[in-house]
Amino acid sequence: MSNPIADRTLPNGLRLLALRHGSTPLAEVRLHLPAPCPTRLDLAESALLAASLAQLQDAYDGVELSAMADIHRISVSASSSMADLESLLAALAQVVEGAPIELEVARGQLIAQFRMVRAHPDLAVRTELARHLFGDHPAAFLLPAEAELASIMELRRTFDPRGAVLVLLTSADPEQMADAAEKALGGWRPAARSAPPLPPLPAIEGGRLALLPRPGAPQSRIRLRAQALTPDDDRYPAVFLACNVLGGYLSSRLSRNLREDKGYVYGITSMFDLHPGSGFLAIEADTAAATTNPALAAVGDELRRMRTHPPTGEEIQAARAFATGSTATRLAPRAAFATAIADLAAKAIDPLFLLDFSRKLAAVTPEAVVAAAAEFLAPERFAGVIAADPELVTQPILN
Amino acid sequence: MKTAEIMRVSLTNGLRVVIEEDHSAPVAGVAVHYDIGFRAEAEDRSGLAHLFEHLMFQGEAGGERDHFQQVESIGGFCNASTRQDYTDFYNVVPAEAVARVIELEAGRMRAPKITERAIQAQTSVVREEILGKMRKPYGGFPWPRLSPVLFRDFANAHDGYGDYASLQHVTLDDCLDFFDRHYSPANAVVTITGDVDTGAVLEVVERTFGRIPARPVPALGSWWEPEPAEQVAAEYTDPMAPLPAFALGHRVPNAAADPGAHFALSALAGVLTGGNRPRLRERLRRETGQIITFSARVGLFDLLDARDPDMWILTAVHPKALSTEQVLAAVDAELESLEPTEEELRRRRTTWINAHHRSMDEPANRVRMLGRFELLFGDPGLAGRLPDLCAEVTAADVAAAARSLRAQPGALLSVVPQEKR
Repeated sequence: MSNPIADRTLPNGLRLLALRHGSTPLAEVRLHLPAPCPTRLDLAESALLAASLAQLQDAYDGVELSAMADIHRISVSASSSMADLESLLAALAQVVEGAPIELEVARGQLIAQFRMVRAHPDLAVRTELARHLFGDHPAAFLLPAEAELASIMELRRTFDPRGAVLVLLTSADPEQMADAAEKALGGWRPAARSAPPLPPLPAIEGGRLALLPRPGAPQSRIRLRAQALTPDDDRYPAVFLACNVLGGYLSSRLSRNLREDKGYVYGITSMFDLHPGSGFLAIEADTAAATTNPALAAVGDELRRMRTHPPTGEEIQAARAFATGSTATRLAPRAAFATAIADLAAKAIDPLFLLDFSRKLAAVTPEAVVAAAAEFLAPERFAGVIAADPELVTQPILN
Repeated sequence: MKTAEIMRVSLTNGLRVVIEEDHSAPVAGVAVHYDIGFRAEAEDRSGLAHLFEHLMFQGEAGGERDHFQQVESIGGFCNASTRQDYTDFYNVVPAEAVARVIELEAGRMRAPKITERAIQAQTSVVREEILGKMRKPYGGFPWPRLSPVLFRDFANAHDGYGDYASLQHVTLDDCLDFFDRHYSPANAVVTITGDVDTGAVLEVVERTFGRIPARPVPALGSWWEPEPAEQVAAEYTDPMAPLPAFALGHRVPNAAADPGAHFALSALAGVLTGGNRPRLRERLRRETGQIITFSARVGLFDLLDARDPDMWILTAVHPKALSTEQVLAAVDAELESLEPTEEELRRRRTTWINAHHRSMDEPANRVRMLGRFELLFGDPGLAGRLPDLCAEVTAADVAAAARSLRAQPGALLSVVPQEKR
């Protein structure tokens, strides 16, 4: 389905994307705000700022607004009924211009919330994975510490319209919607100097599998990454399909083998893990302590088989049908479509990529998928972390 | 906004069919709700309903590919869930594939492929699923740990997720018998929504599901049991929990008889724990300077998701500096004196109605809600009336709901974090 769209870049640098999508009565807005965090304190400040922005909705009846921060950006989600659209846009103007906020309330909530996140065993694994792969790059910060949050006395960050993207989805005429957004946000002044983006992530060196010892853990976590490519690369759709054949859905080889046949896992998946300027392939699964070694061996087997038993025509067709169908089914909800577009902006990819992806998938030849599988899914390309009982797993290996 | 008409019809074999056209996106949803949840499990087969849900994904007997492969290869996705009173299977597919997915659902309703090998593999998969859900901070909190505190009868009290110990002994005969008793067409509802033509899909339903022979339906059980005469308390140690927590469970009126009462309780949950200035958090912050994370809801899993009995749940995670008693005293004081303002109520209402619209914009949620309302209440149109029910709740209703909880002892489950050595 084609999406009528208004795509404008305002004189202040803000990009406006207004789309007509679906027929639900809610306007869905996403605002991508570049906010690079070269230090841990920068991330703590971003996290506090994002948590505080929700306070704004108190002044705007009928508007719901929330925000989240990572090392690259602050991402605002907001929605309202069409009748309250003007309030919604006014709330966003308040966000970008800087609003009076109660820092202490946000700080208390954030500390309580992060305590819970930190207690989840998955966080330690994600932290170890980022440290193992990216060393001292800010990508390894993940979660601000309590002392860092406590040390922020004021919020100094100002938002710059240059590099920001506003996504507005409604049932109404996109040009009229863009006019309304332009009226609300056209007066946003560029910052005196804009913060430079973060340095690119280092390339992943294959073969480096680390054990994160978890004595007595009943369940192990397998987290793997391999260097791949970004969506603007011509080979991306072929690698995407090869990745789907391997573990992108329940019909995939990994799910068939480790879930349906052997019962080692509840879920196992391979997928793209995208960052601004970098694209990795990820394989993730949790499995009981006793099945950790056989599960790892089975993952290694399946990676090797991608070369020795390349994807068949039938497998490629099924993966393509699933991927194409998913863009229709998963993106049918207006909120999901708005989020998907804003997420692309957050990964430094042109959001309009999404509208053209099905056509690109349709054009991929089976030969290209076979070549992508052989090159990008080779087991020696993968590095990562296995969190497991050291009594059971001493030297994690894939091949 | 759409004002779709819902078509309801019963086939001669007793299967109920619900169809709603919605042409806003080129997708279709197909759900099958079976009137068998974990409350109807036998005492020595705890978890069988959930395991059987997994087994249904083997697809139709004689088929080469299982249900996942079939649905995914036509570009759709599918999943299932097992709740107190139903097991639902749902698919969302590109609209042009709707006939195919109806055939697939009819195929596995007629004769699913149940094998020893699949039982073994899926028992392991269920064990992995439970490990993942339970082995984390506050795993199993509040469900399924709260149920045996509030309830006495096995049906309501037991862990419907599945008990690996009892699942290990499930035989092929158990499964075939379970299918025979609970998966007959007259014990099910088929729901189709989305970019479809009602007449055309009804024809497909009749040609596929209509050919399945009728079988007897088990009588609908009653799971009612007396409310506890005084508060029942229990506690357990969670070695991964960073902070103490508790859950309060209170019985609620029968949803079928009084859905409006559930909305008053839902608004109460919203006023106490939702939005930027939730009453309970603000009260304790004022009185103690501590931040407590509260949440509350009606329904063990979801609003209007089960027959009687069901519960209203409040959970709190609090710093060790405060005792459970201190937090409970604040909850009690709030329930006693609560008089929500019009503004507060309006904000909670906006939040709820917007969340409802957002949820109904997801084809999977929409088809599942219509199907479960047909199965539980014989009223799929209830889905469209929910915003009105929500809007009808007054400040006096919320205050009365608060007092009604105070008057009823309910259950208290405390989570004790393990002291780190």
